Amino acid sequence: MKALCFSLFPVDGAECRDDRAGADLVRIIKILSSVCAWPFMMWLIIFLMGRCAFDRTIGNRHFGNAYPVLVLILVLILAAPLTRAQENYEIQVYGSDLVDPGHTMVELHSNFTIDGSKTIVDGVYPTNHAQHETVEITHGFNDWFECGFYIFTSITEGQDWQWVGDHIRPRVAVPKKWHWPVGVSLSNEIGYQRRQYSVDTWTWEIRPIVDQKVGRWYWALNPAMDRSFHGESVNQGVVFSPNFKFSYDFTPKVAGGLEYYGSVGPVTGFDAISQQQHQIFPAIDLNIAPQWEINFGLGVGLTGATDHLIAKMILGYRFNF
Amino acid sequence: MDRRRFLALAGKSACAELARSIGLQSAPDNPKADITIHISPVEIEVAPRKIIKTTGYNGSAPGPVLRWREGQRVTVDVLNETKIPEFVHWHGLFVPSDVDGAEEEGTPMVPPGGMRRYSFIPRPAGTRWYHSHGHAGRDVKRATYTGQFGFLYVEPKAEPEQYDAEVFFALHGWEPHLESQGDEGNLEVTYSIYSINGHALGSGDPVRVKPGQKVLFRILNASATDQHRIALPGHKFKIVNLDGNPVPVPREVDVIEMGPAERIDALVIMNNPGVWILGEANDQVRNSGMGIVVEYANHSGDPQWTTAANTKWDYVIFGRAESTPEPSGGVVPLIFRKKFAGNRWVDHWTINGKSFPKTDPIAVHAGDRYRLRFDNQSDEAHPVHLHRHSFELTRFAGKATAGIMKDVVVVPARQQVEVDFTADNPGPTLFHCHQQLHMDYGFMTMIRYKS
Repeated sequence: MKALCFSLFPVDGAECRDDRAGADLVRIIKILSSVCAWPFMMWLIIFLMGRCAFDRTIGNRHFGNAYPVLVLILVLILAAPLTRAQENYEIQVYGSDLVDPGHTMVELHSNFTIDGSKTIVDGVYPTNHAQHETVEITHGFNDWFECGFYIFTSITEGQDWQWVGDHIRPRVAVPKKWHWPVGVSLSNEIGYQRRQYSVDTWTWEIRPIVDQKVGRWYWALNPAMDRSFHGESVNQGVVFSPNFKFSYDFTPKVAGGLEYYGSVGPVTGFDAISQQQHQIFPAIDLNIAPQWEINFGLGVGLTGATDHLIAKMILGYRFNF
Repeated sequence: MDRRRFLALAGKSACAELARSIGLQSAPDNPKADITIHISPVEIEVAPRKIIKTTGYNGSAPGPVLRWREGQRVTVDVLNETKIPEFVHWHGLFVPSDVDGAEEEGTPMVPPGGMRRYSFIPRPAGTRWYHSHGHAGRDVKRATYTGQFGFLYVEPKAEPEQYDAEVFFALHGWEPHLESQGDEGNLEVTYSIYSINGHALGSGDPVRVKPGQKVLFRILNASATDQHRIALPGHKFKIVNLDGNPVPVPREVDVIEMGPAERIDALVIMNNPGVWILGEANDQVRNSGMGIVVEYANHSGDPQWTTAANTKWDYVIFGRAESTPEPSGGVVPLIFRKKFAGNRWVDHWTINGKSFPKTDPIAVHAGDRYRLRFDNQSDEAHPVHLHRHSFELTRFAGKATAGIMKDVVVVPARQQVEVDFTADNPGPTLFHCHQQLHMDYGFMTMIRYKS
């Protein structure tokens, strides 16, 4: 969650480098083509591998049940030169369900910080009145693997609409046909964000996901671990960022509940409470049609290190290409 | 009587009583049953290298075709070689409640590892079937999701139809799983592979016919949950029986539509030589196995399929277009509704606002005739079934009809259907939706005979 991550870092009064892409379309394309190249190429390779995954065959080799492990290893190898930091730009507690095989989910995450940081913090733009628009494209390959790609953008006060960064998110899950009592999934999110928007430019997040539906009730737990590989938080090591959600289906089309987002500091020693982030979102999910996903909520920060008020909305559509 | 003989008799009696109490009935007076049915785990190869592990009858799925003479008592021993209690329901027969094979009616279960003897007089004549009547709930590896089904043909004293060949087709889906439509939505059962007579399209032997032959296809939808539309391109089905009972007005149709548990007997004049696919009109379902090759003598090559006509199935074309006066017992309104239980969860069902076992029983007097008025206020069709009785379809989706006798009728979504039945078989009688997921989640009620 970008807005929360920003306020993790102490204020040092540093000025932001004037590095606006702004309305200069050519420059944006240049930036995208150079900086997005690695995450996008990884996404493309995984996409192509995933096409082969339908019969678990690459070339003439049959990998059988070892295929999920091979994919994970390949993802990690490809990610190695990139994994130098980690950050999060969407406000969402993940469920264990993957996008259906052969389908592509396109989501728009729109987050507006109503009351956030009002000064430049360690070279990072203030979050107050920042509008973050994130496009997430996720393709389902089979019943245990999907891969997502993020494009993060931001409009902060006094700034044009800026490209912020990109992440790639391969995710594996326990197939439903195993009939586990809870849904289980593991997400890896790796990517880059510009220095003006984060003190850490390369980040990696490992997000275990456990969820369960019981009648009208739903709960999901994401005990995420964040790691910076390039930036000022590198020395913090692994940071524990738990997320939790529960909701109740009031009707077939309307579910409401609470989402919790936290970041408590390094696993080797949590931050002081005042430095931790805790935020609660009363949230609504609308199920207007099987191909649509709509979620919105209003988040209240519980500590001084947390943005005080954020409005969020997720609008998603499943394509069957 | 000496002491030794007394003790021997007492011991024998006590053992028999103990055996009865745990369901292990022996049959001392008639040691040999007419047929023995073994309920046991089976593996069937629905397609090359596609093995389905399920439960079947006598080592196969479907089970053997049983042929009994109408009115001639039969004795059946059922051995349950599985680890769960089972019930075998004789679907469409007018048998007593204690042998009908429904726990709700008081039929004793066949215990795991145990045996139970059923003895009854099979009637009426026609295409019936036998199947598991267990509860499955969310465990879609039980009851009618399994291979526990088979044809039961009760032979009349004289066959009403003349035909050259008779073929039994049982439709079924395999590897069921519960999934929601989209990310949310209620859970429904879907299948990964389908079969006719245990074989997916392209595997198993074709049906071999000769030009000019008159073939009687006896088709059973043995799916736990799905309706099916069946076509044989280049040929027409002349519907002669619905649920095993002759229809007043036999008619030709291009496509047969069947809800779960329905049977249709259709005559086909084989007058279009070639190699054809008889199968599901839905491409996805047919390509997933629901089909069989029909091969004329001296013809070979790839089986042909052409898109089936998109005709709407309507029972009333097989009936007399006349209204039936309200019967003496009166009208019993039954309103079917869905009760939301949560997204990605199984919905519950109600009859007149209540889910089984809380549903209000329907009280009847023996000998009276009643009209059941089904009002389906849900968005799903329901194949409702009345045990131990037949009913006459009197109104279907606003159209009056008469003379169509059935034991299952599909009540379309948001429609009303009326049936008349005579309470002529006293004993607790179950009425339910034959969609397994619906009956397991409340869509049942009882008919109780008043003394």
